[in-house]
Amino acid sequence: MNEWTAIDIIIYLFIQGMAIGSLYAMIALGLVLIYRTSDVLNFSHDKMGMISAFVAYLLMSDYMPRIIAWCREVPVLSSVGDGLITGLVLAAVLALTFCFAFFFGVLTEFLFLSRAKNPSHIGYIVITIGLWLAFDGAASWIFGTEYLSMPAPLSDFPVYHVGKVPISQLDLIIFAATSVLIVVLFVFFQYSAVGIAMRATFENRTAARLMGIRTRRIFSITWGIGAVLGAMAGILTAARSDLSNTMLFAPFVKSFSAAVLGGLTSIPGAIVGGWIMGVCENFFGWYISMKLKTTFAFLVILAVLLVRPSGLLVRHHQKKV
Amino acid sequence: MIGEKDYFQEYRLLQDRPSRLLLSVLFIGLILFPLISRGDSHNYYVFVANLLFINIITAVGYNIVVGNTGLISLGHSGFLAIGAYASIILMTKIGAPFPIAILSAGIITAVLGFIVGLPALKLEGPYLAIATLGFGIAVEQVLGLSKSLTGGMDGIDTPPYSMFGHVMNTDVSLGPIVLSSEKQIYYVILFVTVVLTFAAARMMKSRVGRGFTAVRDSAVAARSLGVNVTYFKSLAFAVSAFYMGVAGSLNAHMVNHINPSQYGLMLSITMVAMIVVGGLGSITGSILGAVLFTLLHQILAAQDHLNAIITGLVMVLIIIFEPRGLSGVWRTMRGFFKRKQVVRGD
Repeated sequence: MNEWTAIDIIIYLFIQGMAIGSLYAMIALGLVLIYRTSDVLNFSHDKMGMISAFVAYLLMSDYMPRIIAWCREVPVLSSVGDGLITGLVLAAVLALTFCFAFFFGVLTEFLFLSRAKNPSHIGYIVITIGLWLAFDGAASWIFGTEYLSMPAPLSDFPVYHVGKVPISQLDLIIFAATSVLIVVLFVFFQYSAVGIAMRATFENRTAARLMGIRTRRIFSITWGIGAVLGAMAGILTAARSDLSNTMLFAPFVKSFSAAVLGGLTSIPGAIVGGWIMGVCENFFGWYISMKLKTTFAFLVILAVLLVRPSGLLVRHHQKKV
Repeated sequence: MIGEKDYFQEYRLLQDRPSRLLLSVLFIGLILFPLISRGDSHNYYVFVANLLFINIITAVGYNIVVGNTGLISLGHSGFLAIGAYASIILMTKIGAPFPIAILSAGIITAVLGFIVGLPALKLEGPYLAIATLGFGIAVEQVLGLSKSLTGGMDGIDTPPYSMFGHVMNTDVSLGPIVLSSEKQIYYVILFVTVVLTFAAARMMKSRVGRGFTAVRDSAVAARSLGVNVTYFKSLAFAVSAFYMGVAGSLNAHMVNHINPSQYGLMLSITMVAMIVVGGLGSITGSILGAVLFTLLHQILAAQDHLNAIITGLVMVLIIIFEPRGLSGVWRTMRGFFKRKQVVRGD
């Protein structure tokens, strides 16, 4: 790295930071969606994403080679290229995982959150912390606690070079996924009936129910979507480093600060907050201290909350008595 | 409940003769408990009792800020760590005597708690939970930084209990009674626990305790009635941090070695579990929760994952089915036996 100029380092740190920040943004988006519709701060979000990533891992390592081998036997499919088959099977696996994540989210909301009789903020927080603990225990029981790397198509990505700066193909995939996500979410909230109902529920729950929106169902769907976002972030994080029981915890804490940075209820805020968090943290880690990266996230939270408690992109919301 | 009795009856800690009797019997039992046998396995039970008392201090202190004042903090493991490290450093680097080290650890942590409590003035609910969660993680990381002062991530050896020139790591025989190291520590911890628990009970019945409750129930209403919300919020953090500091240093000197990673999020979550399952804002509840989870943790020490699953599910189920916790169950039962209408939900 000796021949690198300062500009190269800055570009490198920026791209890496944006890639990590996009992952933070995905997690933060799930948190924000759940928080703004159902008022629950989901502390078990990272464990839900981790479990979904493990499901993807199991599907890929157990079934994918068999399905690919079977596809090669079929005469019609064998004429199609190997890469295409792998791609299709991978898409199917991911679709299955996202289905699993969706129902996991819906079920969690249905079984635990909706059962509570009008609990306070503390009650909701305690429920999700309890779930965090229970999911953590269950995952380490079922999947073990060792570090795994994702199987073939989701590991060993080629690295491209722009000048001296290396860019992993995975980072490009992350950028693409995030861009698609932003567009899809925009269209979803702007034009689809469910999205508009979700926005209405956020604005005023009682009024939304009186207008015939099934708010309970909206909560469930939101949890499902949040869990899918968590699963995406989980799989990409696992592909970027390792798959393990605790892999999502540090990103999760930083996504919290990203969400707070953007203002906990703002969807663009979560994305921008994630990017800011990722880039700032990367520069902080390079120039100041690698060990204190998570502490830096805490300082960001404190600074934002003290200076602008409602976040960067949210107008101040006065509590009514 | 208020209104049935006059103010001074309400102010008294123990209101009826049965509970006074029960408490005396319990107290005598606790004093005699280490003396009943001298086997090695008994020393283990005494050790568990020590852990239990420390957890009671932790739960009582944590309940002051979460249960009584309604400020949810997920960073209290950080205060435990600071208390532990403060008293170790005071004893090894400065040579402070053990009781003074414990007390100053408490005071240092209380001052720090006051400072951490300052952002709490502006934050509420989930925002405060996130900020304090960050604080806990930050403390863990910062303690791992300095090799010379805190021993870095490898941790630090802790000096044993010592009182009036006597170091409590050897057996002492008082006539026919042999007191092992654990049993000597037991009496120290028992004394501190009883003092701190009664102090908390007294405080909750005083003007300060009512101030905390007023802030919890409605900060705006409390302010409009002339309660100084700022003062009570910071005070709640400072007081509970004092408890954490004392508990942290008592625990650190009991074991031989501590390291920053044992003061992680898991510890804060265990605290939440204790007071939520025991009962928010109730001292009986804190004690019941501490007993339940200390024993559960000992029984399931070999099966970490099972411990986590059970603890987590108990937390979820108690919020769903009995938000007042075990102390709520206890109150209902007592009301049932007294055949009196119980006032629900405080």
